Amino acid sequence: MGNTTWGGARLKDILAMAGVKPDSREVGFNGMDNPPAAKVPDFVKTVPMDVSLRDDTIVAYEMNGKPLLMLNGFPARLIVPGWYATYWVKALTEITVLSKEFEGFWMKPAYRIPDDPCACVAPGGKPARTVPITRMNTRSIIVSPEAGTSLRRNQPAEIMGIAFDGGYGIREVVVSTDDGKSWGTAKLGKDLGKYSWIQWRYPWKPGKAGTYRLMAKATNAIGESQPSGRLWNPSGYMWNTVEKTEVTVR
Amino acid sequence: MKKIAVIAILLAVAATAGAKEGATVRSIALPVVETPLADGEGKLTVMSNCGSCHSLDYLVTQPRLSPAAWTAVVEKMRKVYGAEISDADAVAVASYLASGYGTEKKAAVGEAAGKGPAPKAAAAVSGEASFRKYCNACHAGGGNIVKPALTLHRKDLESNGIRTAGDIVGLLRDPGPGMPKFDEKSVPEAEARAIAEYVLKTFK
Repeated sequence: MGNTTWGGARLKDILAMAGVKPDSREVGFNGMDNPPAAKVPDFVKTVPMDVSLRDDTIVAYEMNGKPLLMLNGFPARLIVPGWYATYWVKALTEITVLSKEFEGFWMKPAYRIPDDPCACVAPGGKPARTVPITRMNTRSIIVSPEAGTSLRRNQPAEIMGIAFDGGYGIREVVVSTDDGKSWGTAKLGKDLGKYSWIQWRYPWKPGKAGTYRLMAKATNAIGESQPSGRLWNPSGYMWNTVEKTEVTVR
Repeated sequence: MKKIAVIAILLAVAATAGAKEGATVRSIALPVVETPLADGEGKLTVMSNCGSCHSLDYLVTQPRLSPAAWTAVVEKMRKVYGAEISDADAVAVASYLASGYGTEKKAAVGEAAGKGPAPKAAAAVSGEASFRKYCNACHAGGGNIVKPALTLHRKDLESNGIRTAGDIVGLLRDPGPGMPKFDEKSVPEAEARAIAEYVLKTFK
């Protein structure tokens, strides 16, 4: 996982230069990479027209102000901010506008989720219908302290982490130090934009010795939050269950 | 063409096909990422068969699977993804994964920290306990993480035509989009009713 400034040309400007017909539905992307074995299909992804025409969907040729490096997708790669990285095709060589839904292997059957707002089915179940995975869900991660850390009683011990979502921005992060019984609001760090992760901090001074379960839960600007239990889908995608970090206070 | 910049998070959902050397003039040395795997019979078979297409770190960082689930994963790699793994190697790979990264016995090597607690033994039918087990993931405190406006509080339930315990049981059986279905096999009638009564009593 990384958080980066990408610079490039808007895909919609490129499409406008090429000319897009009114019946266009998807835009396909292929890069220089080849499959590792003969029977493995080439990696090609498609993005629906509306998302392709968004201002923020870009063909990037810079990362943090410098030309892309080989492993980051030189010379140019697709950036679909807010969407999972499976669409961020590296070393782009082909952009194809399609008038119908592409059914290449990496769009169907690969990288799909149950067609349901929770992207879930009962554990072990099979979804009746699937759709391609698209927008990232809301998630927070405790970065510090790490699990298993030993802290001192009555000493300040800041809890820190990051939170992110699929492009609406994080509205709030709440933190629990008592296994979810009570929650306090964390202080959000600098807002670098709605697609960026945001840092958060929560001051803590444990008064009693013992084992503590720390939890962090983020909510985005449209109220989407994180489940406290497991949501299941066959591919194991979009796991954003509130995680627990256990620390000891002596 | 105007250049624009966005700061965005890149989050992989799974390993994708890596670059392969071609007939280009320039090349780079790919970084070597070594994942310390559990010792056991078949370790090298896994490293060569699986590691030639994707990294092995998910073995260490992702949840453990049953022997049947590991066999299904290996079959998926062969049949769906076209991995060229011989029948004999497939058996060796599944067997190594089930013993090194299985649910049946824990291996000491590569254990990821902070995984979820062990499942509790079955409890007596209590609306609250069952609510925690089946509903709390999305409806903690009577809320709704999928559709935030549709809470379990009386006003929201009533505006959705749900007034009685029977209505809630009906919803569990046939929920519509956004919620997994809980049929009689997974949540028997008495338990479903206990959940419904707990909801009506708790979230006013």
